[in-house]
Amino acid sequence: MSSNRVDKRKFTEIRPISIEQNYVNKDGSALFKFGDSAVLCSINGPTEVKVRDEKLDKATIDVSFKPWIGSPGTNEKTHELVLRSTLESIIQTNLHPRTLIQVVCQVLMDDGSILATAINATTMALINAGISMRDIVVAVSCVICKDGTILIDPKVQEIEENQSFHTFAFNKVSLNLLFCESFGVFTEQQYFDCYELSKTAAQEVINEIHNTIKNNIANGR
Amino acid sequence: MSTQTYEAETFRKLQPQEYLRKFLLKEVRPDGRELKQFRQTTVNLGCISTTNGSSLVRVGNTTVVCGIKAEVSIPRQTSIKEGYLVPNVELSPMCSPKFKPGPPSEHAQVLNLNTLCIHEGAAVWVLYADIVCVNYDGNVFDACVIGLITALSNVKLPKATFIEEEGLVKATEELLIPLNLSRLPYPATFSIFDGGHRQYFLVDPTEVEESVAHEVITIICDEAGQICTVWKVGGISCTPKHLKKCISIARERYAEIAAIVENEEKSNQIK
Repeated sequence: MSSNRVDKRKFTEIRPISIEQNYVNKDGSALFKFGDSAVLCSINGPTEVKVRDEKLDKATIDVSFKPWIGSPGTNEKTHELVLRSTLESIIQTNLHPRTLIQVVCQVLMDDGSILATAINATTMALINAGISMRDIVVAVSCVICKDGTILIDPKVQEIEENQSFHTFAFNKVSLNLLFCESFGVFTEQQYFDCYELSKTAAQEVINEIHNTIKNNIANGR
Repeated sequence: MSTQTYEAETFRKLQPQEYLRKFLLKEVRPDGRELKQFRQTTVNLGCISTTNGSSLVRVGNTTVVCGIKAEVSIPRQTSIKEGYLVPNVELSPMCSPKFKPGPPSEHAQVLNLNTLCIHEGAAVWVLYADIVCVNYDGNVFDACVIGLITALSNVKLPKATFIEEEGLVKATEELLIPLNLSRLPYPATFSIFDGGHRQYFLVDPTEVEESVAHEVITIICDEAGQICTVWKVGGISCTPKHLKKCISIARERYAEIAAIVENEEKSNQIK
């Protein structure tokens, strides 16, 4: 099926994924790309925590989200909030009480679906840092166009022309919904259609992550 | 060995999670509500006379005041036909020692922004919405959104014309036009509390429930039953079945709020 998307992709096709671990010299880091959208995530920790932020029974997670251009605004604050709460549910924070796990996400290029890219980059960086997790989380975005077609992994141009924008994050083991952010106007049916399509796309992302990890182990990295 | 017994109040402070769980086992909440019951909500329209539109919303003990001030401004380069809305939420230490990140500004899309245009490319209305939380007892997001929407429906703008030769905007005070809102969305918020053997969905959480809950879901519906926002922060994973349940409760809640607002509008007209 040929489509009239800007980059000639199928409606339900994600852009080519590129993953690079050990990108910067930190405890763990990863560069994740959905086509041109790229987010670099670096992890520090478990490390010393300020007394004020210390939690007696678990690790504190600190997330900073740096935009591509300009200084962080309210949008970035919201991204930090969702990243932190999502990570708190998947990292085994009880293994490292009274420590800090610092997550820094830097957007290198914003071409749509940036929050999904950031969530995937964080997952890869956490794996790279060797931090114990209960599960891994993968995210996919989609938009619903005015004529009702659903486009997976949209570019900036497609997001601007759409009716509503959705980001879904799933955990790997049960493929259940972990995080969801949907804005715009849509019906319940459309919402669950998006949910199912994103779930299929999330499976592709998981496969890609598996391949990367396998290759890295085979190459002794 | 003797078992240690506590006063209920001591137990609540020492073991807040267990305290809540004990209540939920009996399908009741610490404030006497059922799991699916919202707190009493009241809306008071046009309570501040110095603004163009205002409202005061109470959801249980949570109280927010929303005032909207209209100003004339130059439109944004990217959308010359549209005016814009600047929402701002103030959560001062007066209402609670906790500080929470403010709601994102996506609710601006509710408004038919074209109606704010006075003269293409030259002057548009900009609405400054200031939402102040007076008393914080959980679920402040719902209260803010209801406050914002009702205040917007209360806004009346003077008829304004752009005079090209002078480059000025003239407004007549006699002719006041209400805003043309394309839809009226109202929210419903759920907390999920993981009680070990099952998950409890708590509708309209109080501050105490919010602080021990593991997850928050907010759903915003409009009058046509369409959904405007689904927001889930990622604490616990859940299935589509649970989401469907939440959406149906959000629709019931929509009808409830719409009825409250309608009553208030009627009683305003009588005055």
